[in-house]
Amino acid sequence: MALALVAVVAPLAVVAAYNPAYRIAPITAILVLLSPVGQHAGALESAVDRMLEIGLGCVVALAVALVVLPTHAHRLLVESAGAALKLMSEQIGKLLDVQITGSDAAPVSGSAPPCPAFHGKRRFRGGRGGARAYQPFDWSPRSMAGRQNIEPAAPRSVHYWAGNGRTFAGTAAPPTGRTPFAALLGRRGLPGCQRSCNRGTGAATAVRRSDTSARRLCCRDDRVAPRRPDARAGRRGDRADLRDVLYGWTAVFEFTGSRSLHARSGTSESISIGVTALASPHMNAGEKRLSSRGSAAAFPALRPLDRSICSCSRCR
Amino acid sequence: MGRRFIFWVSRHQAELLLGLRMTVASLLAFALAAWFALPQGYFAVLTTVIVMHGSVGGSVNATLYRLIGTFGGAVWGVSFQPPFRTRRSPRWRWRSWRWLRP
Repeated sequence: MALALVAVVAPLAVVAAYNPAYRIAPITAILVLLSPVGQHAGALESAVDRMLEIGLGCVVALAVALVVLPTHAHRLLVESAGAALKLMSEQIGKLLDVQITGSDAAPVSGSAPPCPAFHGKRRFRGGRGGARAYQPFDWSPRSMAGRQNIEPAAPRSVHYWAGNGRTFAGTAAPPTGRTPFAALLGRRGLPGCQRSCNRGTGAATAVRRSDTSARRLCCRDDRVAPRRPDARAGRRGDRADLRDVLYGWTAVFEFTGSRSLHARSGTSESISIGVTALASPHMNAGEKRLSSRGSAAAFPALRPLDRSICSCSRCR
Repeated sequence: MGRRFIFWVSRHQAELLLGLRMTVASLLAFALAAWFALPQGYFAVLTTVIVMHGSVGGSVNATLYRLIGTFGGAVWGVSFQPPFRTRRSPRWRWRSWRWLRP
């Protein structure tokens, strides 16, 4: 029996080591060999019984997964991407302060100093008074005209990658020529974003809020590009982009794995999302076109993050 | 309290739905295994729990691999069973006894 066990388990264990999806195979072989029912009733009967039982379980599980409140991987992806964006938005404010002013203690602009007790915490929780107490960033042309003078020092674009459950940010040199990011935007992005990217004039600034925002990004993407049905599911080129094109911000989500295997399986460890955030303080043609569509009115929850502006009484 | 609970539910919607699906699937598998009088019906219940994933695509993939793995393991185990079996049937004993005869 020991020899049989070795002869059966060894090759199946190797197969299971190559592909973890086959880890059931040695278990089944051991059960067929060693189970008292298998030894009593014979291997063939035991194997047939086991196949019937597991087949029944598979059929039932599949039917329930398809019928009882089915959850598709795309929704889970959007939710996890929204969570990643939320984390990034909390980091980008600090990065922006460092890049523009050289110190994370000084605010970017505005009169109120940053308040660490308030920012980044209650605003995203969705609790009562959390989002309301936060005065949204002033994107009016008059305020933006004052920001034209603000130019970041060294790195002008910040690339954020979130994948495999990790979120990290880093600064990079402005993209020149047709970098992959520029190519991505050149094919999918809006003209304003593309120009901003190619010129490298984008100052890194923050991304969005939370899950709701990511869902809105989907809707927005559909609305902006209704002729591209592949934009949501990533049918073409293993790539799906959910773009926040509000005020020149761009967030591109990219499936980097094989779509047929990873994106369909929906497992979080196999989907890696690349998020590239780029924004420009300059109001260029693309942003004007976007703002003429009334995007601010359409997405009142999508307010830019600025940690330095806080008008609550406790912060002053 | 109520709003907080609703907010918590909305935040953990995917996990709660997975738990609900898993419970329903295991109950259904248990009932069907009892209905068909399978000798070890708990394997069906275990399979539903193993196979059920957070998304439909994940469940389909897991089901496929589970079926392939079970079939391969069963075929492999059956093919290796006769030469090494210990509990011998009368027919086996007769054969082995005949082999041992000079």
